Amino acid sequence: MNTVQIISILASVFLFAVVVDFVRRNLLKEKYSVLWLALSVVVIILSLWRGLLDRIAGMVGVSYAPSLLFLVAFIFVILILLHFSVVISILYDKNKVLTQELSLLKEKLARDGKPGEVKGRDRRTSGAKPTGRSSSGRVGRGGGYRGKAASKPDEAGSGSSSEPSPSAKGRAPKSGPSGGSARPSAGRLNKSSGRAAGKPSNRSAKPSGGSAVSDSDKKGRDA
Amino acid sequence: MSPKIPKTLIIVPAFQEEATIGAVIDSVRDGFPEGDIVVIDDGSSDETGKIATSRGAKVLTLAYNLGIGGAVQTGYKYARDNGYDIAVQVDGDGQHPAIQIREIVAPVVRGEADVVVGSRFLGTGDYRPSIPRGAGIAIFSRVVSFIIKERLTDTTSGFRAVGRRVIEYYCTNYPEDYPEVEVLVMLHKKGFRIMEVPVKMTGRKGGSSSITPMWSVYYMLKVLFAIFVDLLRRPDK
Repeated sequence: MNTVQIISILASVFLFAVVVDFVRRNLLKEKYSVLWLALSVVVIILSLWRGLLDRIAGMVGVSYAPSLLFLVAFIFVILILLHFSVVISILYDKNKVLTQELSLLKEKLARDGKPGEVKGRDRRTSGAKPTGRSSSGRVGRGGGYRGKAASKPDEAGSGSSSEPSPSAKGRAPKSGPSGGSARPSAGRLNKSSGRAAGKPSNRSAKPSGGSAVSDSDKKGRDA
Repeated sequence: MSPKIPKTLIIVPAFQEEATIGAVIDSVRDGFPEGDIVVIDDGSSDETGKIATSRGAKVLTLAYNLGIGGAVQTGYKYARDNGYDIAVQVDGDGQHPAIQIREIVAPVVRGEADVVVGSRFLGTGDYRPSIPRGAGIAIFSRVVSFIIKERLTDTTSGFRAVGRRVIEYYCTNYPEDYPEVEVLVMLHKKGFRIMEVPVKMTGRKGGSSSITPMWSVYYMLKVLFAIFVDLLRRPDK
């Protein structure tokens, strides 16, 4: 076994493994992997089975048999490239149709006056969310650290006591008279103060209670 | 729909035509008030779409620049979906005389032709292209005339009117770039009747042509190749 044989075996086995791995990781669609796999399998066979390579080389008049390997690989690469050009053309066509349809739909939507309606509904639902939602739902919605950290106390005392609620309530209105403006201050309370984090233990100690605190917490987090 | 009052759509493909699009819309409205105008904003980054909307035209905005073929085809799809009997193509650069829309529409309305092309070289037009451009136009006209065995003088003209059957055909068959010449061969193969009508065109009023000298050779070869491939295609596809 000479060096060129070893190189081509290693290279084609590596290629085979890479292609399979790409398919496994969904980086490459099965249907686009076929030609690559065929290329690597053919090169592996020809490099292992020197007799076959020599015979074919003799048939087609290639004096140095290993160079036939490169010819075979080259032909495959050309096929793969052509295949990709076809795939790109198909993709282009599909893309074009989608773009055209999109523009037609946008125009239709604008004509029917629907976009405003849709937006309005969207806003309403997001506004309604804070009031009656489980903590798990809010964790997903809330941004990063604040949402996660704040949700823990709630889980601990999901039927929380009414004791902390007066303080939260008492603080909230200071920033403004309306419920809406209370939200930011409640949020600040949750985020910054150590006391807010300490509360849950108190809360969990007392089983019964209103949902006032958790509601204001929710508002604060969502605001 | 009564053939007396055909529903007509004016398709205006526009890419970066903010300098002229407003005037084009106004002139189309003056020249052919009974037609609806749809501007295909082919991914312009300038104010083309805004200006067209403000002038009261319907605007189809393409998410990215599809090129003239894809843009115009969008207009034909719009015509098909909204039940138009006739579609007229008018460039967004102001070269096409909106006042003559009626003249290119008339043969379609009368049922004399399926496609009417406004020709700059028939009759009294004073359009004088540059020498290389003129040569290119002449070559295309010769080639197409030879293939369809009918004399056409201005195959690159984008000023056209088509009837309902061609609208539907265009929705599934329209070349992507440089479609004007190639599509004539396709239409002829399909058995549509093509007619030329003299029009007077002016030079473009703003913007710049998509066909620069650098691209003109590519343009020639691409179109000739496309025509050649069209001839190889099966008639029923």
